[in-house]
Amino acid sequence: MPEGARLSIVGDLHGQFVDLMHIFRRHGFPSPERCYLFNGDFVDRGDCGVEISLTLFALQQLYPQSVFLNRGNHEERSVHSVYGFMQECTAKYDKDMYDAFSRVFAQLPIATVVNEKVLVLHGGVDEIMTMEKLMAAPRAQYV
Amino acid sequence: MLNKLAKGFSISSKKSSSQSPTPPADAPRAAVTTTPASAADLHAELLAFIEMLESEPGFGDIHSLIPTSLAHSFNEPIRSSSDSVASRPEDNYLGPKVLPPGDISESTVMDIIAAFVRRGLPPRAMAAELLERQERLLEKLPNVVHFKVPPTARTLIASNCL
Repeated sequence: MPEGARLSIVGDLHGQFVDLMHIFRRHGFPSPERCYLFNGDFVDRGDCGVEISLTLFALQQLYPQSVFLNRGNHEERSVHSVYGFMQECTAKYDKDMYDAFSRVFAQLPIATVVNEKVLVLHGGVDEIMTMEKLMAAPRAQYV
Repeated sequence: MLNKLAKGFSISSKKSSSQSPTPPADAPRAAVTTTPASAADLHAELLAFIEMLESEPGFGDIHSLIPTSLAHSFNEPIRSSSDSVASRPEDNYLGPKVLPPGDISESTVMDIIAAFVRRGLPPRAMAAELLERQERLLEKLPNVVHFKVPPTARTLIASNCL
């Protein structure tokens, strides 16, 4: 990131597309100079998890060096199958698309480290977790 | 430029007082003749449109803004497949219908976001392609991603505390 850049860390959008647009209006759209880290829980509870997920994915594909995504507990199938996303996604598309979203969610990184100093992850870690264990965890599996 | 986004979205002070989610039968469809726009134009247009949305009394309840609401209450039963087809928000979608080959462009992304703001939903095939590309991108990333920001970078944190 160039000098003068900005980093915004955003958590728990929970299907609130309007909130995401509000954040972009206040702080700017992602760009090489405007970095965003979305710290999980993109879906469930709100009605626009599909729109939020597709927006974040498109933005990360556009700016892979400026847009980072962490996985939240609501990007876990046992959670989003209960708290609204499955219902939303199958209503808007179908079950196969829900499965496709689930596969992508399962590949989301667990954590992000900023400047080798700040560990950002959705739910915290317990006292026995080490960085080595985090790096080696089978992230697509629910543990 | 703003008009292009606003077409078919029917922003007016009337809508917040209207409780009916059903559009008049003769309501104009969201057909817009799209002209190529630069990413910068779309960017500015989208920001202006969001600003306009935000100034609306109904902002925050986006589902009240449009007749073909994406909303479905958790307390309500899932619509039957025939209902969801009848009110399928893909009908509202005015953004790109396919992803261009190669890297996604800024104008394509802005078009997609603009379409979401207008309550549209991309065609299934395009959304599936976007997901496939995302899966390929994510598979290459480690569990823990490292990146650096300059010491002078400003940092904002926006989240809940739950």
